[in-house]
Amino acid sequence: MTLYGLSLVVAAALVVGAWGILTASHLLHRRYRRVTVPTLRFWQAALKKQRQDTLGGRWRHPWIWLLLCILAGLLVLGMMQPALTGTRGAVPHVVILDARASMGLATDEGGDRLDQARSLARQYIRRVADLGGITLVTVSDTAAVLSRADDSLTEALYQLEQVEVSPATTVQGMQQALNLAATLVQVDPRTGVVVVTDHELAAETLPVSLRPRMQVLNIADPINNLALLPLEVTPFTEGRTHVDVWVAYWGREPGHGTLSLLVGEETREALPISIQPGHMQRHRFTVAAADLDRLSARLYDEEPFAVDNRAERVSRSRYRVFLPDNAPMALRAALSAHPGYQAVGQSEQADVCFGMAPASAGSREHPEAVHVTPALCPDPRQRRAWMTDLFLGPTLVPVEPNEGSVLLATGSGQALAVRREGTPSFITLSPSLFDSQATFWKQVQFLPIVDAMMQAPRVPSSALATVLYSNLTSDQEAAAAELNAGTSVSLYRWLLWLILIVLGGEMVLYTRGKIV
Amino acid sequence: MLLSEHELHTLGALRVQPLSRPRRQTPADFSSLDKGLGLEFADYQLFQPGDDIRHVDWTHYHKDRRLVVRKYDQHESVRVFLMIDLSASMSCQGPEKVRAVQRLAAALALCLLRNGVKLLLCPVGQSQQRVPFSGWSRWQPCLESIEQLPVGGNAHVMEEVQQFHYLGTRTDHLVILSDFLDVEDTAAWDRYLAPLTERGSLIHPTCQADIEPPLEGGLTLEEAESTQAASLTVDRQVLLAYRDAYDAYYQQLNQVAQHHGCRYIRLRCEDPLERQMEILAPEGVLFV
Repeated sequence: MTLYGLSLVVAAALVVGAWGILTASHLLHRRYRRVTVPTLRFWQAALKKQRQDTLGGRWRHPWIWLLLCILAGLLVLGMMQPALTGTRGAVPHVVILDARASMGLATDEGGDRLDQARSLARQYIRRVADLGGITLVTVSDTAAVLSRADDSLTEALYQLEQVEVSPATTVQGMQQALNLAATLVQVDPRTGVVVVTDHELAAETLPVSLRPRMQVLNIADPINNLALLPLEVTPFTEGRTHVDVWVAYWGREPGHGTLSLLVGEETREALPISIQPGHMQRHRFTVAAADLDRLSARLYDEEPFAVDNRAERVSRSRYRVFLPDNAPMALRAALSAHPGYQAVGQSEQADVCFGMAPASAGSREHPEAVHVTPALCPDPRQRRAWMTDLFLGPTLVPVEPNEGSVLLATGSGQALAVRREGTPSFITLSPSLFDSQATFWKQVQFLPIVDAMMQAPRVPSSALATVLYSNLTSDQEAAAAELNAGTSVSLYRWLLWLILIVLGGEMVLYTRGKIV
Repeated sequence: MLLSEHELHTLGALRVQPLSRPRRQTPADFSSLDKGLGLEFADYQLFQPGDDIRHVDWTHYHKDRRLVVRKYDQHESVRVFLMIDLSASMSCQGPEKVRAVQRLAAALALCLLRNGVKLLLCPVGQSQQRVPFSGWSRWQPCLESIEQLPVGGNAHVMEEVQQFHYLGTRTDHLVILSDFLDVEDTAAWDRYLAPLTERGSLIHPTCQADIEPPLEGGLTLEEAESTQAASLTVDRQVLLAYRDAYDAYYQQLNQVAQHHGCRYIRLRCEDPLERQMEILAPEGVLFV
């Protein structure tokens, strides 16, 4: 048995003290003089009245003394929080890994919080793997079970390495994970639960069955954190661009701050914001395309502690494209009209180069449909939408794949557009796509398909590690924490029943007149 | 010896009168309600068909020209069950009370035997057999028997009364020397005393400690005849409550006894035997 509450010494002192007080009270109230009388009949009325008037007189009876001593002993035993423990038989464990947005914050040691959490979880899993199965649960918007108790250790460790930071900021996922752990504890009361997180978990939010047995490992001080995510640029119209600024907040009280949009060092716009804990807000600004190179956003808090977030300037305002001289006019026109793209004269300066496959003689009597490959569009529904009324001209000029990704193809599998990665990337197009009788360049989906072919990178919203910082203190020495989840069966409930039984027994004895 | 010579002499002069006059045809020492074959002339009675013609008083006939018969006093024998309670409740107050009860019982037995009453000694408390005594010559063994009665045990007065109803006749009398504490309530006395009807005497020997217990302070009271105990603080108010309950109980017992034509007499053990017998036998007649 393990005692999670008072130590043995303190408990013994409490019991001795309580029994001493009870014994002294009993001795003080004991009747030393015993007298034999012919009958108690005539004393009953006075006895009844005294019993009602002097509850303290109950201290006299030895039964009372004994029952109170038992009660005191049980109460002290309850304070010691005994629990049955042991390693006989399998002792399963649940590891809950928090992978929400804040875990992507950078740490002083390099890497992010998730790396640190992953390391701790790995240590724990290796330590307890011999005792029983490991259930690995990650927390994002929802709780996901990555490995179950009957999976191998290798599987658990592998899944652990695959965990990535998610943009989730809500508590729903954590609650689901805790409820899942509580269910597993109900199935096997010896299950140990460890949560590795950077959020504070309040006791009242925990399922009751988990409260005495869960180990929470906080890898960061759970204080207010107002953060600015990288800017997202969306081309709007010619010469104008939408810039989306995301603000996230983790904390206890509502956060307030000022979001400023700067071009260079000049503040173009300042916007006061107010944000609730666990929320993200998007603020859209419209700026001139020419200002994108010098654009940055800044967020600072109104609270006394300094929070000064500054998003990095957008690294690339327009995607640089090189078109050959024989590039189809439709392609050239599409790219020049797009404010997100900039035509360059040399391929070395470009992010992506277009090329046309050499024309070859060939003719088809029937127009060939253009197929969009999963490499260009993974979404099958989007793919089907794009392939609507998409046809080649009568002349088919295939493109040699040459180890590139086939983006467009015919129904028979002949490549029509191939992208080869490199610096710059190279996209080879079939002239058949731009034939006068082809419908490819005339459809509304032409521009999105060209966009997708070029795969112009957006600034990722999940790249928190490189751009965010806050006033959070450095991560605690988590390695010093003893990973020892409570794999035990508490005896609280049984002690409570015992106390109630003793009290009930005393009431029965009292009502039957066995004790005064 | 339980009784002194002077007490023997004094007690021997007392007469015994049963509360109820017996009626049977057996010649004995007590005048029966029936007129019959005795020696003493009692009264004249008009001749009724069936009367013995030999008893017709012809002299009276010559004078009054009426046929009358002579009636004589008839004497019957009386048996008294003398129940003596020397149980633990009677003896817990000390040997003085036990001695006083024994002396009182001896005095009663002496009177009864001297007056020709057949006596059946019924000890209550210990399991003892009933011992019969009759005739004046048996007074000494009777007193010795009373002196040797065991003390202690649990009283079963009610059971003895029930035995009296089973064993005795309708002419037998019952005298009980007890504290009458072995029933739950006086309603039970009503049931047991009802058949007695002028044939019972309830003599309650009591001492000062019974009426006003010399107790004070925190005590654990143990009942003499059971394992029950109770702890309480005895003070003036408690003693008053005790006295009230004590008086109420015996008052009720007295009412029940009177209702059935029996006598309830409370005697103080501290009083001398002479005084006690004066109460029991006013004007020298002991009513049983």
